[in-house]
Amino acid sequence: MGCSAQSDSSTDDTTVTIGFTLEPTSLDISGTAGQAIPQVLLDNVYEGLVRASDDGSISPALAESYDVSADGLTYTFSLREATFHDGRELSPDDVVWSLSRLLDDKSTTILPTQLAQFARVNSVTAAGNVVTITLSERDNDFLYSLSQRGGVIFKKDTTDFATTANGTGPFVLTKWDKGNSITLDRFDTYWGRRSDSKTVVFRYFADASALSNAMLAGDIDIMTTVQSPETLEVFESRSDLKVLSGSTNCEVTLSMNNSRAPFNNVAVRKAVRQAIDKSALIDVAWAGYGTEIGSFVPPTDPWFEDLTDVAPFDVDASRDALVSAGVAPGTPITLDVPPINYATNSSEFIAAALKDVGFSVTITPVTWEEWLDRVFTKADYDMSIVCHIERNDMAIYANPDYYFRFDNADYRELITAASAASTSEERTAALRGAARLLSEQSASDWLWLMPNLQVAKRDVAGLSKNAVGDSYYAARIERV
Amino acid sequence: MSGVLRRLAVSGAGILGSTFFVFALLRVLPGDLATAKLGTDATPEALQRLRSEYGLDKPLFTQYVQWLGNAMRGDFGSSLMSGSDVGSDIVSRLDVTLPLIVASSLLAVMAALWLGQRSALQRSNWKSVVLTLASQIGLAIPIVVLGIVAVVIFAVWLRILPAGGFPVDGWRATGSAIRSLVLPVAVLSLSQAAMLTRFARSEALDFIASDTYRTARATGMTKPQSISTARRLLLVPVLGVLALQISTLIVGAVVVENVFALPGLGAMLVRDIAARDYLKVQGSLLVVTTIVFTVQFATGVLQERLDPRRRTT
Repeated sequence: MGCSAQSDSSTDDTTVTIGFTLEPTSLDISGTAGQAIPQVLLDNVYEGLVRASDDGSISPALAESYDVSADGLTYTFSLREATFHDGRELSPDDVVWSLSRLLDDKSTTILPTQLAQFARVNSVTAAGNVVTITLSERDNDFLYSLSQRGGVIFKKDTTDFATTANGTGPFVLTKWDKGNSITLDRFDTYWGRRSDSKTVVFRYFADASALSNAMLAGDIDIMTTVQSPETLEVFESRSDLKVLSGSTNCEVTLSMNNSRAPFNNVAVRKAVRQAIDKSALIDVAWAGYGTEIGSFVPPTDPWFEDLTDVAPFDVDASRDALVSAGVAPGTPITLDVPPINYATNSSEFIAAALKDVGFSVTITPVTWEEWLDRVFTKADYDMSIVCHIERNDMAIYANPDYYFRFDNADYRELITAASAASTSEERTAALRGAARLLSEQSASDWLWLMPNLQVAKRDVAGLSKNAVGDSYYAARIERV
Repeated sequence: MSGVLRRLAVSGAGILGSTFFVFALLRVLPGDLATAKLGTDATPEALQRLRSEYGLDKPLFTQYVQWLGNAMRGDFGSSLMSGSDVGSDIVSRLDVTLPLIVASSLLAVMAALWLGQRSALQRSNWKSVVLTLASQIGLAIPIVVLGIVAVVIFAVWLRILPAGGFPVDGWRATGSAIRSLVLPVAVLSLSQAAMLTRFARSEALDFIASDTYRTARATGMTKPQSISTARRLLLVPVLGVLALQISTLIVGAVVVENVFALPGLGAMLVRDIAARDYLKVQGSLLVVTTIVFTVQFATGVLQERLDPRRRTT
């Protein structure tokens, strides 16, 4: 089969330079945490059997086609002909070897998140060019897990994951100039449509203003994150640049400790939500970019429902609810604010809004280390603000030990039902119900959905607008 | 000669002490390499397994002695995070940081000597006021602000220099490498020169009040000629201050490297501390402290050569 129909626009031999803020600490995509590693390597250098597109849908990658049995326990993949960057052809043994690495739950070379995603896998076997994976129980997220960093296919017996990257993807990693950039070059014998640009350089700027300045000076073609949206005006005023706003999975969450008074009372949690004018908050804290969501689901998920009317902004209703819940005026609460601008930008606004309905709010700035230790691990806090970015992360509310300390049996049942659902309709219905329950229980307040803001030169095309997966897919980026 | 030996001994002890201090400090910081590598959702068992794999569960003193022994033999180990060789990582970063620091220091010293003499001679006219004011402003503006302003003017508006970064090919792309260091060197040396000028100026004023200067003038030399006879003398205190300032200069280099997105040692250090990449942080700081102590040692020796009065017999 080899080459699929190539509408070869890959005559463009230019270099496109893309600016990021976080640089990988290693090239070890399966064993080292951090979003920067899959951002550059997944789908660009390494590939899985399947790939998640910008809209979240799953399409075949190294598997030409795949099939799921009716009981959801057996997955079969027909491999396509592909070659690794070192020239060796892909064989089913590579797939079996790569995925079997995830079956040892004591492994220290695989990230715990990935081990958990593959915990239900019983066996990975190959016959001819067909790879069969069997599960012990149904897992509706399994194809998605395969499309992410855990599902990447390595050449069999690879030992150095940290400093080399021999994948099958559309780009070859040609140079990592540490502290500066990673250079990807077009893989000429790629099995699919070849990359539109010959060279793509991922450049890293530890300092966000250095990134902005590089964009303004024309040193880079794309700026992948706008960390301070108030600076967008500068970019919008430039005729040679364009601003793109897409969707993310990042819900800016005002967490309330559900196990601690006064937030162990649903009425109080709802009153908190009604005290905060989200639309005004988004204007103040994020320059008006950002979407109100009303629950813990981004609009790109099929089970999204606009739940902003469950606890609409209503100061009088909030005050009344607090009075009848017996919350004395001046009840002291602490808001732990980690050092990140969406949190610091919104903390004063939230404190003022809560003071307005009778709380006495102390804002405590915390370092990330302290946040992880005291707030996240020990749940020793009242309120905090953090953007939760994991995809399909509704399950975190089903864990009563998670720092929200939200303990609701009905919710857990819905989440279990969703992962055991045999049709996608069934699953969507369960998750929609879960999202509504979460909102009715006001487990947290969801301030806004973080927009994916990028700036690019006008003549650059082919960027992914949304940031919903782990990878920053660069094969369609080109200068037009 | 015994003076030199004493200096050497002090430097050696200082370097050794700092390695232990750095080692201990890194272990006191919350979070460790295992949590940084496996992420926030790692189980305690997984973290423990990784720690024992990397030998991080051994007694701290054993770890320290082992590391020190290897480091003395020139083996800095390999990064537990990226797997790369720590020694060669440091060397490749010094490619950027050393030229940055050396060029800034040289420029700062030359500017300080010239400006110091100038403003000492023209104590009462408007030029001197401007110079003093400029050096005050140079002292008052943080390096970050200076850097950002420089980028906005020269890279964003005038577009004659890059906003930051360093060529992928390093010094083989000599032209671009130099171009990318122009603004960082200018910013770093400006902030140093501002301070050194004040020392040079007060030293020059002392000289002008001295008999040597009056005699020089009496022989018919012009003011600038007379004061230039004291150039060596002025250099002594300026070098002394610069040596004391070398650690400040390195901190400044960290800031400048971040503002200009330069792949230097400082920028690497900041990232490695965040990643708790112990061996790399220990290695880098060993190199930095060695540089600091070497500079101070060398300055001491140089000062004695320049100014015979400082020689102890």
